[in-house]
Amino acid sequence: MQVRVGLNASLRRYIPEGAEGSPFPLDVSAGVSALEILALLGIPPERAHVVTIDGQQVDSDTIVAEGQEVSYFPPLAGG
Amino acid sequence: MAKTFKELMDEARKDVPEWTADQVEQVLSNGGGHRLLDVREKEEFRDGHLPGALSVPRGFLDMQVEEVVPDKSTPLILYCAGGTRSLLAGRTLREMGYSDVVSMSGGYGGWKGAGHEWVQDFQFTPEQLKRYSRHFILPEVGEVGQAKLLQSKVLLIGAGGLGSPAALYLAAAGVGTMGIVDDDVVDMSNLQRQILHTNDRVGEPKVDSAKATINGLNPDVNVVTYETRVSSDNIMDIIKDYDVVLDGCDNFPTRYLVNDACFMSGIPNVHGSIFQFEGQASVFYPGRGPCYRCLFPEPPPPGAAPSCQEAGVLGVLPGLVGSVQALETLKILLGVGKPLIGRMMYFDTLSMEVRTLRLRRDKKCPLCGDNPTVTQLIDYEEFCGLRAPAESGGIQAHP
Repeated sequence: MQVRVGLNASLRRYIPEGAEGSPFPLDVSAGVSALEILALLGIPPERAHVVTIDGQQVDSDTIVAEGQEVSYFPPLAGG
Repeated sequence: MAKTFKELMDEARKDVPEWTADQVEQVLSNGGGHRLLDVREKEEFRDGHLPGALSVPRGFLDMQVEEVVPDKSTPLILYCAGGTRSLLAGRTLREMGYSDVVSMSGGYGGWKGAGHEWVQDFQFTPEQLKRYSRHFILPEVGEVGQAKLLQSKVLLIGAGGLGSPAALYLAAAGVGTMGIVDDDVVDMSNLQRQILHTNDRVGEPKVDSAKATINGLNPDVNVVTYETRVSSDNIMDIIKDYDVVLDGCDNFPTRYLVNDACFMSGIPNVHGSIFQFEGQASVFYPGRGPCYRCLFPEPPPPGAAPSCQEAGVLGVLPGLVGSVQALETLKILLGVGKPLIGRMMYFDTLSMEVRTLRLRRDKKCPLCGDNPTVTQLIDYEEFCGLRAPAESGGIQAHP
């Protein structure tokens, strides 16, 4: 199934080659969690921070359904 | 046929009953559900008025009354200075369909003369009446709201990228007291985005530069400067007198420190942070929504979330985010609208997409959760992995 993945700020460097920015489509197995999607992209789990599905903050072990957009927001330092 | 003034008054009396000040006082004290409309000019209203009265000058009555009193069956008591304008205004309202309109004979003068209670609102100077005139027009601000702003106290953590636009807009809006904490001096590299500061102030303390700019814009503002680092030792003393804290710092130890201190003090924390082309803003309001730790229980490993100095930042970006922080601060002070409590605005300025994320309070939050473990301020540099546990000292706020 396909989901959309949003990687923001310092996580953008993990956007796969060929993807046109963020969010990008990603083929995943059914029943995959938001945390497992991070692992698929080679992102350490401690970088999950704020995880949202379709704009709503969720726990990182929440299962992502087909067509949903899962996004990851790290804290930003700058001011 | 043309009518004389007397004829007009006689006709008005047929449509609009007149009550004495004593009758009005009795009806109001019995809680009869009447709305009091003061139809005198604004200047007269400012000098003093009946408690609870709404100011709708006669010259604007036809245009404004339906906004103020949409239900035309609402019982209305009108008054002016002596009872003439309110009688004529009452007739206008009757023609507009208001069914229960009374005019107070003798007006405000009669009311005061009878010894009844009256109140005087905040006294604006002639310059303030001009300066804040666009606020006065907004029903959500008005003179009451502007008086609130002038009596409000906002503390800015940092006079840098975010603190600059926030300070300018809050000063322009007439926030009466602004505290600014920053121990840094103006550097040439700041001027690409930190619009409080100027070329000729390079090398000066940022708090002094900020004060000069703010008072140049609006001398009404009392600027309190703290040329220091906020730390676990001093922050509770610094923030205790403020209504809102605006976090514009640029490092994680200070963000956690400000979050914890605001939560422990019950003070709303208006958060903003930026990275290159992206920014986020939220309001952490103790008891009303999540805190910073609910979002980010653990700080990122050192180096994982670089600062502006390390990663760069587009100069306009803090203008956008800092302005949102100023706006949220004004909403909180005025008690209007829906602040970003439990929500985060996320700005991606390259794609120019702005999203509002819905956040939730974390029941397991070590600070505001059901079983808190952080009950006093800690060593935040150690918490953020920036110092070995044995060392101690202040926390740097380098906006």
